[in-house]
Amino acid sequence: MLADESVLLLGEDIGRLGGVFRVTRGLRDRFGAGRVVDTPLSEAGIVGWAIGEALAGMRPIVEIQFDGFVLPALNQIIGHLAKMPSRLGYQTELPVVVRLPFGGRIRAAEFHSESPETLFAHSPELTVVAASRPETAGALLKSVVAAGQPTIFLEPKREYYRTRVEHSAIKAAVNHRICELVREGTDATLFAYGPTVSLALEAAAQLEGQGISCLVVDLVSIAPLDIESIGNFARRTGRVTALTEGVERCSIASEVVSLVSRMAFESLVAPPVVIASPNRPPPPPNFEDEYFPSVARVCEAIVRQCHG
Amino acid sequence: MSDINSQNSLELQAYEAMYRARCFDDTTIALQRQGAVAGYASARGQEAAQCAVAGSLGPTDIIFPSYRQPGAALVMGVRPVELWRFHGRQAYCPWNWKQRRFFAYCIPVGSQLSHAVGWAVARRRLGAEDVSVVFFGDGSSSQGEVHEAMNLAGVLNAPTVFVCENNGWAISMPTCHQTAASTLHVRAFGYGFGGARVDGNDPMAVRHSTETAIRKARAGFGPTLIELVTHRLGGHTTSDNPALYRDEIAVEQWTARDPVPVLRRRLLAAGCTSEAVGEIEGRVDAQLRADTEIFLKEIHPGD
Repeated sequence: MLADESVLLLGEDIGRLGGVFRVTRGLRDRFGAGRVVDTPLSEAGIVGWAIGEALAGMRPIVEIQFDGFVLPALNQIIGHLAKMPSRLGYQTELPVVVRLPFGGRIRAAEFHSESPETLFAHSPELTVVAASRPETAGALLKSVVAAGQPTIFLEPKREYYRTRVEHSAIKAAVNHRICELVREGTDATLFAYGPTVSLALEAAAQLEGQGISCLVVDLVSIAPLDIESIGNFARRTGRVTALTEGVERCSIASEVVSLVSRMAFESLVAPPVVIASPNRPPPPPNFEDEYFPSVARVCEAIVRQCHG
Repeated sequence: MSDINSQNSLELQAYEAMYRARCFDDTTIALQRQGAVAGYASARGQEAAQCAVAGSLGPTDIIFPSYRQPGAALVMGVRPVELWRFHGRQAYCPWNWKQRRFFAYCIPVGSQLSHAVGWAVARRRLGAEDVSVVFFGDGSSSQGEVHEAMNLAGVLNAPTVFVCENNGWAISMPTCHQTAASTLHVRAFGYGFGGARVDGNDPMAVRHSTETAIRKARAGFGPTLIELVTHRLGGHTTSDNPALYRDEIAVEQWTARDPVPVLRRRLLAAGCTSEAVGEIEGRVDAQLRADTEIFLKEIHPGD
């Protein structure tokens, strides 16, 4: 916002309140209510408004308050944001970024623990990027805004609750188009994104104790997937597991496994694995431990994959 | 020789635009029947509404259309060939929308209103005095996004003029089955701004109300909803068969109020010579014939 006056924020409760997760806290005081705009309760209208702003030369960043509430905006996101660049012959820039907290395991109410990223990934030409932790999220968002493409920027809300972040660990620059190798390993490759990156790292730490060395990759770019890196990291170990908090059917994890199976089939030494939620809506919080992927489930699957 | 006063001159301008829109409409339907374009949503009967609205814009104002605004498009300078490329399914936006100040057609009805609001709010924030004018129909007015956009426009005091062409039909649904509201313009009051219901077939009335609304928006007094009461004399598109759902005898009542011949008779009655009117018609006919040839050569290069 400092670097570019055309960047403005639109969202519910982002100004005076600083956002329900306080992500935009202090920005209204600093940049004014004209640039940090508290909007009416109107997801479809807000995204459409942002599209209009972009057509007039602005670079709006829209905050949708919760994953589950993006549904009313799908007509604007999938019907317009995704299609407008091609509809207009790629002659018009549409630098609209939609920020969306996503994921569960925070004992939240219904519609507050969703993983809608597949809907966006299946809507070319939307760019879909998933932050995984505070240390890289800021630089990732900067990279996305600079690129100026219609983008869905997913923020794993579980990570909002982190209380300690080492200042020295905060990255200044990150490329949102490529995977990030977050842990070296030799026996098994874990592809994760968003909230499952920390899950994969926890599982990897446990598996180390059992003599299994895991290579963990943060996909970062959900759409388009960084196909080249995914292929390379798959070939390194020949054992691939893809993680998602979303339901298994048509998930990003399924897409990664499909890609790897088609691209790197000869290098696979075991069937690839998908770790996802079962094919039903997220249950009430009392039952979410049985629903979302857990460290135990990941470890069990990797052990089975390694030992046949 | 007859005196052409300024009212006459405005009406002559209106007639030229409306006659061009009518000729374009007839030509496009003929092109569709020949297979030269794939499909077309006719605005026959709505020429006064569209041309007068478009003629009211200032030099930096913009129109956000739905998908049935050929009259408005032509007034804004979109070329017939560019519209035919759309209806020929070659491109979704064959015209330079920034140059023409006429945005791309919008197929998901009603979803264009928020774009018009966002554009206008952005321009105002940048210190410009531009106004956006957005078209939608009586059918679209039932969509939730129309409500959202108007609510936003009201609370943001957006310099946007909402033009609802109430042409009586949404494919086969007559307006009386679309809503229980007595009129569509009354909805404006629900959003905190004013509305007007205008005879959409009277080009001077349309022009007056649109200019007033645009002036008001430009001066910073926010949005207006204008309901233009007109009639869709043709079908929903060239794939439609209105005989299946409407009584063509009833449509005849509206045919008697067809704005193009009505204005023509009015001009002659007011003292315009038939030569003057004929000159306009001849010129427009010739232009359109030339455009048609260009387009046909484009799609049948070998001939």
